[in-house]
Amino acid sequence: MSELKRLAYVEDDPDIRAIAELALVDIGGFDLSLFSCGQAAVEGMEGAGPDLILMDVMMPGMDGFETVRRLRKIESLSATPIVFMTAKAQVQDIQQYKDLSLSGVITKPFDPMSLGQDVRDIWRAIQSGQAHEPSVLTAWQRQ
Amino acid sequence: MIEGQETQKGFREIADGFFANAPNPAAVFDTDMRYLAATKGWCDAYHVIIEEILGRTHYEVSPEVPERWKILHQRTLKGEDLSHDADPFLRSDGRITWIKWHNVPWYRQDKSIGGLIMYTDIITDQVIAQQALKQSADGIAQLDPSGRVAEVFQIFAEQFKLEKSDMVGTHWSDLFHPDDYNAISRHFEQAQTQDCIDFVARCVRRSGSIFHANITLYRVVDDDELLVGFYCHLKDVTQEVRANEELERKNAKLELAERFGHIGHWLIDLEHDEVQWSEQVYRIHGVSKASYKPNLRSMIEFYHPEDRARVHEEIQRAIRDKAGFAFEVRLMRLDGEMRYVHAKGQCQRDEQGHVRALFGIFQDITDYTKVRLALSETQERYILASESASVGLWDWNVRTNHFFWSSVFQAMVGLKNDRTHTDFVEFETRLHEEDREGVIRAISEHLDDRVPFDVTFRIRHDLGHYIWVRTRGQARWDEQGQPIRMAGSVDNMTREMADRNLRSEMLAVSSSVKINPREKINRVLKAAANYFGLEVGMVCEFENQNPWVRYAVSPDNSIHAGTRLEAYTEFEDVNDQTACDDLGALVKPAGRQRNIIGVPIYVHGKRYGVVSFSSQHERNQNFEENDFSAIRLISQWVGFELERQTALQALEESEARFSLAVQGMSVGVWDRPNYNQDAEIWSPVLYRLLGYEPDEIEATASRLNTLVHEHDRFKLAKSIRDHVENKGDPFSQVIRMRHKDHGYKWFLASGQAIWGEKGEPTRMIGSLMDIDASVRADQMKSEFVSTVSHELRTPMTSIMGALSLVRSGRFGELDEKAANLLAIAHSSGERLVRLINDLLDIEKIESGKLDFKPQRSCIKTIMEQAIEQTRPFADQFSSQIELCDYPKDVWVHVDPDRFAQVLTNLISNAVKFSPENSRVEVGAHLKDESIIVSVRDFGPGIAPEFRPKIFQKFSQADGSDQRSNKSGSGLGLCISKAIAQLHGGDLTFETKVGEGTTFLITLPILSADSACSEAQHVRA
Repeated sequence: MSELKRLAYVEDDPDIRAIAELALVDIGGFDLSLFSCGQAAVEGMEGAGPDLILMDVMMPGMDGFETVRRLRKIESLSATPIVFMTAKAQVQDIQQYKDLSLSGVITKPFDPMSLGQDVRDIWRAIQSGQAHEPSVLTAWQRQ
Repeated sequence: MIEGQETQKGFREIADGFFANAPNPAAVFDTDMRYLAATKGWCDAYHVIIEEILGRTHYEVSPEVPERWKILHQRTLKGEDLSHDADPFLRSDGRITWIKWHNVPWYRQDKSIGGLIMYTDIITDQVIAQQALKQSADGIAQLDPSGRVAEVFQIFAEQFKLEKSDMVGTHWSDLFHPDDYNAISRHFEQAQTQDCIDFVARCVRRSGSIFHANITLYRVVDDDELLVGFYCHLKDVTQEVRANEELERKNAKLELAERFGHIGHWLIDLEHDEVQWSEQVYRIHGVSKASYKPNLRSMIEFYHPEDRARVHEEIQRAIRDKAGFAFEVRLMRLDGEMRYVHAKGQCQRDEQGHVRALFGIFQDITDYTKVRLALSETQERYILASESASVGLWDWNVRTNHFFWSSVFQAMVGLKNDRTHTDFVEFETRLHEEDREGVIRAISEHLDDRVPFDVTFRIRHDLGHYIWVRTRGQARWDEQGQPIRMAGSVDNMTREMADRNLRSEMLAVSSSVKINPREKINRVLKAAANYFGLEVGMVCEFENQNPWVRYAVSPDNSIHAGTRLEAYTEFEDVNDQTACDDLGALVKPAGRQRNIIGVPIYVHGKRYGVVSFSSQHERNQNFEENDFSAIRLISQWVGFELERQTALQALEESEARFSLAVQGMSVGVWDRPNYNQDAEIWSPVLYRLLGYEPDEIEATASRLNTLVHEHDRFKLAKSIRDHVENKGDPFSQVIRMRHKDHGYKWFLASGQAIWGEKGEPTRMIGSLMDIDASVRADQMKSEFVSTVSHELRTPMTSIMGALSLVRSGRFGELDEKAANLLAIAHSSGERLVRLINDLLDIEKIESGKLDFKPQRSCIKTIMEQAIEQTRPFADQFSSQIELCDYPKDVWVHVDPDRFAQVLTNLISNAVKFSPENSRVEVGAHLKDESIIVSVRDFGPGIAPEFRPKIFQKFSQADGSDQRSNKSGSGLGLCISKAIAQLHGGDLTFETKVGEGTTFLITLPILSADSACSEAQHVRA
C-alpha cells in the first residue's frame, strides 16, 4: 500500500484555502499544491503531480465537474483519485456524475483537525479497492 | 405464331417487316420483357423513343404497370394468348393512354418461347367518351323481358331520388305517373318488336314530385333473336317541356290579351302586296278569315270616306320618311256598325334601307271614345257623386297647366277653400320627396305610352304632415296623340299605410337582434302614433301609483323618458283615466280638445302601466272600435317586449357575473358529459388559458391530455384513476400544460366524476387554474434559498475551520476563558451549519426536488449505523442508547442515507430532551404489512399545547434553548416526517408528560418477490 503524500486542492475561496493549508500541511503533514480556480488547476496540475486531488464544486468560471473532465483528459492525471469538497445537501447531485470516476466526497464545512485523517481514510479505501461508490464523510455529523 | 432470331438487329428487321403495315401499335419483348422492337404507332401511343428503350424492360419504362399485368405476361410466356380490356397506361409525358391489349408468345426456331408480342388498340378516345357519358345527367337501367328492373346505374336512381337497391325488382311502369300508365303499356308493347322506341312521359320521384323524361327503350336479343331484356335510357327533359308549355301559354295569353284589349296586329308586305291580319284585326273589321282576304286596295274601303285621304297620306308619309305612324280612323263595317280604331305602325326596311313592309297594331277604341265623349257631359255630375263617397277628384289641363282640386281632395290636404284652382306645380311640390320622382314618371308613362295610371304616394298636408293617397287617372289625347287633359280620383290611404307600416315595424323590430331594446319600443310607438294620426306616444310605468314616463316619442322630443308624468301637466289625465281597468277609455280632458287614447299594459300578468297616444295640439277626432283593437295589440306587444327585456337583462347579468368570476379566477372549466366518450365542452376561459381561440382546437379529453407535460401525464392519470376507483375526494394535481405560444405553464388541474345509479362514473367535470405565476415565484424562492445557502456556507467553512484550528491548541495555548468563548462560537457555528443544511433540505422537499434512491436495505444495519453515529453525541450527556428487540431479517425499500438521517435526528432529539444519564431505546416491531421503528426517551414528554405543532417548520419546544447544544433548527422533525412519507411510511409519536416520548416510523415491508425493484429510481 503506497503512502499518500502529495495532495492538490482546487478552491476559489482564499480563506478556505488558508484553513485547508493549515489543516493538511501543518496538521495533516501532506505536501499540498493549491489552485485558485479550475483553469489554474488544468494548467498546473500535471506539474504538481499529486497522489490525490481535492476539488471544490461551485466555483466561478469553470466549475468542479468541468475541471475534473479536463483533468481526466491529461494522461498522467487520468487515474488520479479525486475527492469533491461540497455542501451536504449537494452530495446527491455529485453522486450522479459517475462518469467522472470520483473517489469520494467530503462535505463542507469540514473539520480541519480531522480533514487529514478523512483524506487518508478515503485513500485507504481506494487502495484496498473498496471505493466503488464515492464515500461520503460528514465531519459535522460525527459530532 | 412468329419465328425470329435472337439478335436485336435481326428482330428489328423482322419486326419492321412484319409490322410494316400493322394497323395497331405493337412491340416485341424477350422472355424478360425487354424491348426488342416496337412499331411507330407504339412509340407514339406511349410517347417513347424506341432507340432509348431497346433492351430495357417493359416494367422499367412503365412504372404504372400493375402486378396483374406481370402475371398475365408470365402466362403468355408459358404459351397462352391473352387479351385485356381498357387499362390506363402512363405515358412518358405524364398523360394517360387507355389501351386494350393482346399478348401472344413468339417462338424460336427450336420451338421454345422467345418472348411475347404485344398488340394494342388505343381506345383512349372511347374511354374518355364513356367517362363523359357516365358523368352526363342521363340514366340507364336494364329491364328484364317482363319490364322489371334488373340493373340500375347510379344516375338513373338519382333521378328518382331512390337507392339503387330500392329500384331493382320493381316494375318499370311504377316509375311513371299513373295517368301515363296506358301510354307506357302501349310503348312497352311496341318495344317488344322494335329495336328502339322513344317517347316522353312523366316520372314520379320518391318525394312525389314529377319530372318529364325522354325515355328510349333499346331491345336486347340474343343470337337466336330471343328477347333478353331492354336498356332503358332516361333523360330529364323537364326544362324543355316546361319551356314549351310556357311558350304555348304565352301565345294563348297574347291571343287573350289581344281580344280583351281589342288590339290586333297586322303586317303589310309592300313588295308582294300582301296583308296579314291577326284574328283580332279580322274581328274588329267584322269579317271572318275564311270569307275575306285583305289587300291594300280593298282594305282602305273599310275606312270612313272622310278618313281615307288622311290615312293614305299618313302611310305615304311614313314610307317616305321611313318613320312610324299613328292615326285614328272610323271603320265602316259590313254589318253597318261604325267603330273607332286607333292604328299605330312602323316601317320595316331591307338592307339597302328601302321600306319593304309596314307592321303595327290595330286597337278598337270605340267604347273608350264613346265614354270619352260622354264624360265631358257628365263630368259635373260625376264630381258631385264622388264627393259624397269621400273620394277626391282632380283634373289637370295639360295645356294650360291648370290643376283642379275637388273639395274632398282639398280637405284631405288641408287646402283652403279659395285655392280650389292651382297649377300643377302646387301638386308637384306637395309630393313627398321620396315619392315625387315615381309619380312624375307614372304620369309621363301614362301620357306618352298610355300605361294605366294607378299610384300610391304621400302628399303633404297644409299642417306639414304627409298623408298617403292612392290615385287612379286617365288622360285624353288629341288626334295627334298629344295629351290634352288628365283627371283622376283620390283615396285617402293614410290609415291603411299606417296600419301596414305599424305591423311591419312591429314585426321587424321583434325579429331584429341589432336594434337595442329602447329603440325597439320607440320605433313601434312612433309607427303607432302615425297610425292614429297623433303626434305623441308614450309608455308609462306606475311605481307606487306614480306614473313615470319610460318610453316616449313626441315632435321635437319634448317629452322625456325617466321623468314623472306630472311634469307634463297637460297629460296628467292620462294617469287617472287610462289606468282604469276599462280597456280603451277615450280621454278628452275637459277644457282641452286634445285627443288621447290609452290602455293599460300588463307585464307578467301584473299591471305595469299604460300606453297612450295623444295629439300635441288641440284637435277633435273620434276614435273607432278598430282604433281600440289596434292599441290593445300595441299594448300586448309592449308588454311582451318588456317581459322579454327583463328576462334578457337578468340573463345577461348572471352571465356577466359568471364570466367575471371565472375570468377573474383564471379558471377554465371542462365538462365531459359522457364519461366514456372523448368529447368535452370547454369554457372560453379554458381555451384562452391554453392560448387558443374558442373552437380553435378540438375540445376532447385526449386533445387536452396531449397538452399535459409528459412528466406530469402519468401523475395526473394516476390521480384521476384513483379518484374514479375510490370514489373519493375530487382529484387535484399541479401539472404543466403546453400553452400555444408560451411553452409550458403551471396549472392546478382538478376535477370530479359524477356517479351513475350503479356507482359507475357517468360524467366528469373539472377545471384548470393558472398558477404559473405562483409556481414560478416558488421556483425563484427555491433558487434564492439555495444560492443564499451556498453563499452562507462558504464563510461558515472558514469560520468553523479557523475556530477548530485555534481550539486545537496547535497554534498556541489558550487560557480557559478564551477556550470557553471559542467553544461557544464553535457550537453556535455548528448550529448555524445545521440550520443551513436543514433549510436546503426543506426547500428541496417542498419543491419536490429531494432526490433519494430507495434500495433494498436491511433495517437492522441502518439502525445500528444511526446509533453508532449518534453515540458520541449521547456520550456528552452520559446518555445510553440501547438497541432493543427487533425482528430479524426485515428488509425495507428505503434510501439508507436518508433513513439514517431520520433515525439520527430522532435519536439526537431523544438525547437532547432527556435528563442526563438517561436511556434512549431504539427498537422495531412488525404490524400488519409494516415495520414500526421506535425511538423512545424517558424525558419530560411533550407538552399538550406543543403536540399539534411538533411537525411544523421552525417549531421548537419551550426551553429547548436552555442548553445551546440542544438547540436545533426546528426543522428536523419536519424533514424527518417528510422523508418517512416519501418512503411510503409515516412518522408519529406517543407521549406522556413526565414519562417520556416515543417516535414511531412506520415503513412498508419489502416482500421477498418485490425486492427486484431495488434499482428503481423514484423522483419524489
